[in-house]
Amino acid sequence: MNATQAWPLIDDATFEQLRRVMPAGEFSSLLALGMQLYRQYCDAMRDPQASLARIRSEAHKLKGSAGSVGLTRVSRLAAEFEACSDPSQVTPLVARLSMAIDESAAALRARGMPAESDQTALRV
Amino acid sequence: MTSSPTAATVAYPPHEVYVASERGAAELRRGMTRLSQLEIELLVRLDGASSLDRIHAGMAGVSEHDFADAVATLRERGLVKPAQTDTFAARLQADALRMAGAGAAANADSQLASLRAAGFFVGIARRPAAPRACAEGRQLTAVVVEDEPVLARFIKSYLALEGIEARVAANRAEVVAELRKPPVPDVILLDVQLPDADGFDILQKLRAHPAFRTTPVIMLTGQATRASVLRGIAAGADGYMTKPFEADALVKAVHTVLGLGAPAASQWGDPWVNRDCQQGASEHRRGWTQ
Repeated sequence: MNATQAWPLIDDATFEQLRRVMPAGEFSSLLALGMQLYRQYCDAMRDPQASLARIRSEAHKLKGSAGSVGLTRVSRLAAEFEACSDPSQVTPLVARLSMAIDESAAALRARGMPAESDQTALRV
Repeated sequence: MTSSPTAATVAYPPHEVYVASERGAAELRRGMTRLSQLEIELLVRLDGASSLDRIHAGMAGVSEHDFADAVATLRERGLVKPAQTDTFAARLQADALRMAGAGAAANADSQLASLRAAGFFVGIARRPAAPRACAEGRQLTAVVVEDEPVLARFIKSYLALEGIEARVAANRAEVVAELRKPPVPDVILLDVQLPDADGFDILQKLRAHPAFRTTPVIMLTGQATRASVLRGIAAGADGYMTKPFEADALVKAVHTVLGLGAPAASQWGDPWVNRDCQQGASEHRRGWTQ
């Protein structure tokens, strides 16, 4: 097991708490919005024109957002990314992050959450 | 005995190195503290490497007497403990620095490095000296300055569960627009890294504005360094929470800075300490809000 896999995809306590407390539909809608935006952040990091500062800024957003809704592995990887100062590490880190997002989406689906793109969810 | 020139008032060993105890770390994370600004600042600065006299030297304008009082309070409350330092290694390092003629500069550098080191996660919120007055019968309102849409929506939804109506602002223009709208918010949650603005600058402007001078502000940011926490607290923030955060801790912090009674969650325990209690609190809250 590598370091990435050692982090849980989802923090069970946070996830269950939010599912119980938040209004029906709101949490799943929030997660759907999250998965959509997190993929967009990854795409922005992949952009060959993106500066390291821009990439780290995207990672910064991802770290706080994903971690707060219980997506631990994505958040921890994003934190690792935020601290990265070596441009040669960007491509492998984006690949790991992208994989973690896909795995998190699958884990959410397994828990009955519609972790798919939902254009209507983009409204704050 | 101490070697300080004002030894009569100094009740701490200046060369001792302290670190936050488990209880002290919890005090900085539980979203509710009665510590003064100076005590918080001192607790944040205790990095397990810097001696008390060095820390005091880095705190401009703090008298020896006030510093000693703050040390005494933290010790009495069990919020600090002596750091487990390797004295042999420390002596070797000090000797090496002295021989290199760079002792003072290296000390300053190491303190700076400690202040800037990432991974200092906190959930600080200070109680007001007196309960804050809210217009009777009016719903509490918050302005949430947050540019990340998922978090903005998450915070807004969670505050709504507590009966707090949140208005969201994602950039400078929206911050200005939301702050101009009545009513003046009861609390402001303030991100630091915005696309076209800096949260610390916004905090400074708020504290200089007559309408917002006393409005509670909680910094809610991914900047998890001692230096950032100190900057926020020194600039007049009532709270500082690092991201990612736990929703219950945020709610608790909001209640704290507003001087309200404890939210449902804290009746069941500290969400940072006991997750079982946290889940119980969630069940309790659901029944309470619906």
